[in-house]
Amino acid sequence: MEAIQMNKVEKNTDQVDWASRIDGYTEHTPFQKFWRRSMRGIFNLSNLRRILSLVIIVVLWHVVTTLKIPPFTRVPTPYEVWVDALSFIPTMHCFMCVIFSMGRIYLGFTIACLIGIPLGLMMGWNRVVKNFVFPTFESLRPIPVISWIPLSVIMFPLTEHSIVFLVFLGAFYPIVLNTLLGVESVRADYIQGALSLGSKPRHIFFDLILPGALPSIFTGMTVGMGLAWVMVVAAEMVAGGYGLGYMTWESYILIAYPRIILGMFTIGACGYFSSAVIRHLGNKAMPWRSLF
Amino acid sequence: MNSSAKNNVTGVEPGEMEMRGCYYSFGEGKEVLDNVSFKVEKGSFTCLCGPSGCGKTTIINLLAGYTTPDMGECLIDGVPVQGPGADRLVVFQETALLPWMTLWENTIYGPRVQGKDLTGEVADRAEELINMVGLTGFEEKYPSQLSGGMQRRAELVRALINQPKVLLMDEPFRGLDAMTRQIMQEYIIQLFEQTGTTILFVTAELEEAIFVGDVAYFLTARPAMVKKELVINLPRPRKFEHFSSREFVELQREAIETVDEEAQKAFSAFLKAKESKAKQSA
Repeated sequence: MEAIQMNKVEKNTDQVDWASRIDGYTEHTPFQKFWRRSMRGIFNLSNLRRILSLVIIVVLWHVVTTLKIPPFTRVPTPYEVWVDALSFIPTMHCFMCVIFSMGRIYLGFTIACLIGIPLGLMMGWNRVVKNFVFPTFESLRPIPVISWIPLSVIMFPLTEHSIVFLVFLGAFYPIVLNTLLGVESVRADYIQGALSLGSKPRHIFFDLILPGALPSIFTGMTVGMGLAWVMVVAAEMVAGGYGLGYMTWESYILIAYPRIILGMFTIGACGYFSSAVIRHLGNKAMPWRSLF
Repeated sequence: MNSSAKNNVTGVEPGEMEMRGCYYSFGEGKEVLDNVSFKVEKGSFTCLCGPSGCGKTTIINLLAGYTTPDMGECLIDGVPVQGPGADRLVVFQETALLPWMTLWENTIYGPRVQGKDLTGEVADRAEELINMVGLTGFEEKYPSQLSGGMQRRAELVRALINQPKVLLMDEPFRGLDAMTRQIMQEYIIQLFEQTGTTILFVTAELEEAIFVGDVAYFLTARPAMVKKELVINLPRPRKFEHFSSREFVELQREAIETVDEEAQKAFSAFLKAKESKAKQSA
């Protein structure tokens, strides 16, 4: 009985086409309807405000740099950055910088996931593992990862290896910690219920712990990706080689100030792209979470 | 309803449970159960009522085998309970459906982890049970896409597919709105009258207990003892008309009197504790 009612309610929640309720409204072709709807989706008041906020910040930037208000005396204007972007972005150099930084990120980040997620899961699953690993982990964690740069340069003869190691380290801590947290957040009554039904440990692990920890794991990966970008930029600035961080620092040395800003923007865009990839993977891996 | 007959839906003979002289505490001065004894007869719908926080959930945990009593024993069909088992399943206060599995996957979870063949008989029974609680067509939905009442019904199905001898229900309708609750009561009565499974039903609502149950045990405030056994002789199948019958009203009055006394006691104990605390800090 209730099931039938539910059906009805679900149908009613379909988006109401308010336009069709206005007097004098005439029926349009499906394409016209689609066009209207998508236009309404793009040009509404909320989006206008959002665009305005970006416009305001660029205008402010322009004002303070052209008037040379301290501390913006030597900061390039938006126009200078724009001109530089047009000449720089299509070059091979720019492309290689992005490729190098991205490559280091994905190598270091993947290793961090491959080691960090199983480690976090094992720590949450088995008390013995946690007893052995957690104290070491927690005593190393307060050390800012940036301070590992000199040591890692000594440890690895190749610059490339030390940068990947630093990226790994940056992503590693949040991934492990969030995975552990995710395992511990799995509700006890799920496990009690599953035990009642006759679950073996492998069922508990693969049916409850792993999917239950997934949201936290992806949170850890998102945070870890942010720190991975911090580390790649810092490491490239110090250790050199190709890459966006190196390019940004080099621009300072070469007094090519607009390129500094350009480097910052490119790093931001790449970071955003990487987070979007993780979000997308998360939605794919947890279909039950994106259903509302 | 013939309680001893083997049923075609659950496929097993209903069991009986007994709690014999159980004591339980969370530590010094935190006694929860104080010599609790009661019996859940074969094929009966037994209710357990008591003020909130009196240890009803502890009783369920003991019977389910999640914890062991300090003293006394829990028996199922005369055999002491040792650890959790699929012969007595718990339907929890909160929904314990796995959010990452569809209704169908949740339903056949028990048989799957027990390594049963999921095609023939199990699938048929799952379909039948899902149909019985009116969830046909929702098999591929995730729990978050179902309403509160539907989730509770799905949980019933998830438990019943495992052919439990006893169903332990720990305030399963708590947090549902009045209308959904009423519908759920109808479903559980129907389910009970069709399957004849033994049910132990914990609730804080007296009307609910009287409406659905055959016997109701009333517990005292913490530490809990069985204060009163109320036999409910209302005819089955139960209908909503019974709410206004003379027998119902009389039972209700009796129940309220019993519980009121306990509630008063609990309240004055609470006041006393507060007073002594205030004295201590002053």
